[in-house]
Amino acid sequence: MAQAKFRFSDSDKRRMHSLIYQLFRAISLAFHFLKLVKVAEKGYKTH
Amino acid sequence: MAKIVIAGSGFAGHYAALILGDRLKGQHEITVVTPNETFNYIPSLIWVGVGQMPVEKTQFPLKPVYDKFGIKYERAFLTEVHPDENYVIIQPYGTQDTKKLDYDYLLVATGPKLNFDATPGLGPDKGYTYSVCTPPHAVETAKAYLELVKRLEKGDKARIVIGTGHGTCTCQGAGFEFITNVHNDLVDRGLRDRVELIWLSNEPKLGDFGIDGLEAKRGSLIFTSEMMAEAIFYDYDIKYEIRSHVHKVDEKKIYTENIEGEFKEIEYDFAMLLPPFAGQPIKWIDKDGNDIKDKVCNPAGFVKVDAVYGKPYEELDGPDWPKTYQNPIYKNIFAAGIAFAPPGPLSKPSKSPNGTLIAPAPPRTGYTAELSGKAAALNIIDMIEGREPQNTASMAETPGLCVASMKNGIFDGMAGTIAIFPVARNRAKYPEYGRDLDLCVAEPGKAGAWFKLGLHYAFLWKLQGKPFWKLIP
Repeated sequence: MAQAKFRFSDSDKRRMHSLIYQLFRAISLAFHFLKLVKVAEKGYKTH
Repeated sequence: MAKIVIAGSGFAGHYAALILGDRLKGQHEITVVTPNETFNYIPSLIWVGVGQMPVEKTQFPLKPVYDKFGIKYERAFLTEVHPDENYVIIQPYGTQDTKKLDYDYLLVATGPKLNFDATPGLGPDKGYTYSVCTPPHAVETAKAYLELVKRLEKGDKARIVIGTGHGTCTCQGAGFEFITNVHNDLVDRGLRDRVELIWLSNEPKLGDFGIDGLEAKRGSLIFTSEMMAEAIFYDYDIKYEIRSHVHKVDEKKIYTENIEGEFKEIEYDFAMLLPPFAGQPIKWIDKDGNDIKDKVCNPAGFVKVDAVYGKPYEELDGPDWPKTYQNPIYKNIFAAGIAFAPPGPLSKPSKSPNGTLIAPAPPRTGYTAELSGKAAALNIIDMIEGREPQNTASMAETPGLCVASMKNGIFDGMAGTIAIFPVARNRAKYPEYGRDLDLCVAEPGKAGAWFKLGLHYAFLWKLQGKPFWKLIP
């Protein structure tokens, strides 16, 4: 049975659990998702 | 008036039905054939499986939605397709009767047959393991898991094994979500130290998820899904066996073989192992009564579409993936979602020295299924209006958007937000990685948990055709 070795850094962990930081990330990721959705819809020619 | 038959009511079939109903209502006849009475939002079944969400919250009845869109609804199984004569045979749910349905256009979006029989002892019906692939399975899993929790509360210790139950499984992401949710649920209950959690998977590397993993830029560094999964498993103290095929399961042990050809026996107290997928058992019959399934479908029973089939993994590239989802022989037949035959795997397939195939199949669920369903629906409209199919949603040109829940909750939730573009590596366009790393994301955090919950409600709203449904991507 293998045991994982790679670890998140302490600053990574702080960011993952910080409400304020995650709020900004949520907004940024939401825009990123919308951008990708637009890319996905490029193939629909008679949309 | 054209007759359109859609077989299946999952992400691909149901979304295609809504698009066709919205565009063609009153002008053409649209019929959905499905054994399901409800739409089932599969991504949230991981929460049902740990007893954190009632199954009803993941479902809505299909008939009222189809009534609203002027779509006929047949609660039945698709049993035969007669593509030369343009009709299908269906078997109404709960009966042995059959019924003939004519069509001008057929969309096969039946999803997979859960092939538990591929591994003796696998699955809740004939075996010893649990699954979260269907609502009844998830409910049964929750019941068994909560019984185990009661035993743990009395002081018992247990080993829980979660992952894939065959070398050719897909949807490892669902297993990853389940094991991390189980971990966090046990932590909340103060029982985690009584449980050994083991991830058992056919993935060639951690974080592969059947999509050959992903790389994302983080500043000047490249962060991979392997790093993300490994760091989470380190934090959660989850041990793992990957590159493994499961030969059989009995009530105490899981018998595996890894890529090095080593046979192992893993004792367990509770196991949730996903099954491999196969095509639905549908007969394909030509005008002379001959079985033509091997012409129309691949050996696993998935319907062939406009992909380039037969290339080895090393030569497979973006342009080989299907675009319009039209069958090459019968141009009025389309297949979408899991029902279409992919040209090959996304993850590197391997064989053990004993010849055992360990090759994750490509996932094509959720958003990817919807995209293919929409392309097929728009192409059917193209053909009705006298045009060649022009709408494409190749997995080598579209993104994959996935949020892997680790814990549900507004303030203490956690999930991995994953975006890849494109899903299938396209080295013809992106020579270095096959993907545009500026558009790829692999990021764990609370933001993902909010997305996962938001997507649950947004998808259920959209797929019920509620006001402004068309604005939700």
